[in-house]
Amino acid sequence: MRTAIRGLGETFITLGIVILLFVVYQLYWTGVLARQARADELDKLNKKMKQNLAAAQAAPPAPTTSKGPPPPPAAPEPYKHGESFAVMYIPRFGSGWKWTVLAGTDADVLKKGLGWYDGSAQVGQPGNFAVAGHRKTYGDPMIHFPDLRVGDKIVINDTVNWYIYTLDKPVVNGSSDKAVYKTVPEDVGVVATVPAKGFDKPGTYITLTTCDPEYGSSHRLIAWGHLDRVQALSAGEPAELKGTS
Amino acid sequence: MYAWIWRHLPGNVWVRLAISIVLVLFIVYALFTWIFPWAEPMLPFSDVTVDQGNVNDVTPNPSGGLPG
Repeated sequence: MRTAIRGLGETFITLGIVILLFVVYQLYWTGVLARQARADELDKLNKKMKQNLAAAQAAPPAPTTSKGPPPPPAAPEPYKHGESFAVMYIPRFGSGWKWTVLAGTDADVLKKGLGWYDGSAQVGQPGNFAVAGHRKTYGDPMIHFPDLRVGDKIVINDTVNWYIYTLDKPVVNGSSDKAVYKTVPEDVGVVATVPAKGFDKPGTYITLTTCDPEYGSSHRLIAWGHLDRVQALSAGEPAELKGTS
Repeated sequence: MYAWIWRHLPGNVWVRLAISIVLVLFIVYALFTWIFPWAEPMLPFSDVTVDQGNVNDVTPNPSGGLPG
């Protein structure tokens, strides 16, 4: 009898310790993993960037390596699922805020950074460039999402250009200057080419999504913006990032 | 349970202590590497997208959305 009770007690203590360890894993260790993955992805992107810059300098007017007709300009190659293609900066989230954007929104992709919705527009292209990010765990990239205001800048660079987007006021938000719209997970119209409740005519848009509340998933937070301008990487860091990094 | 394990470990107190520490470290490693990643999708923190795989597969739902 006494042995049985002791065994039961030990089992409960063990379970308690395992659950505590799981909390440590979720709140701390996933962040460590995400930051490692981000460093790896940034390395890969930097390599591609240097290659592109070198190629642009080596063969400025006409691409010599291509066979057949020259490729149409500014049509980016399709993103490969699970691979990073860009870096996003949101000054509102702090000067050090910098995450890679990878193609795809499944759990394994979102462990490494922000996820691009398959089939949405590519960055800088007409349509809707839609990106999802973790609110809590895996580095908490979107933890301060509710702070986003109308007019906030979102700066993105891929391996060719800088893209500067400005956040807009959601149609439904009345007089508030918040750029954040709260909805339910089934509201897929928010990432449509012309986002429902965000805009009423076609354009070059960006959509950010994350979960709400912080420790739950009953709702989603959405922010929309439009493309302001594009500048070549060689033109240097855009003014929106100056003084923040 | 723990007393039973302790009794069945070989060697003197220090050897048993060393083996115990190695065992605990291995269990923690196994939890972080295999068990927790497996259990994680059952919690809601990973659901950050609106429900879909490809944005072109869907028709917008006009009734959806809870302003708030």
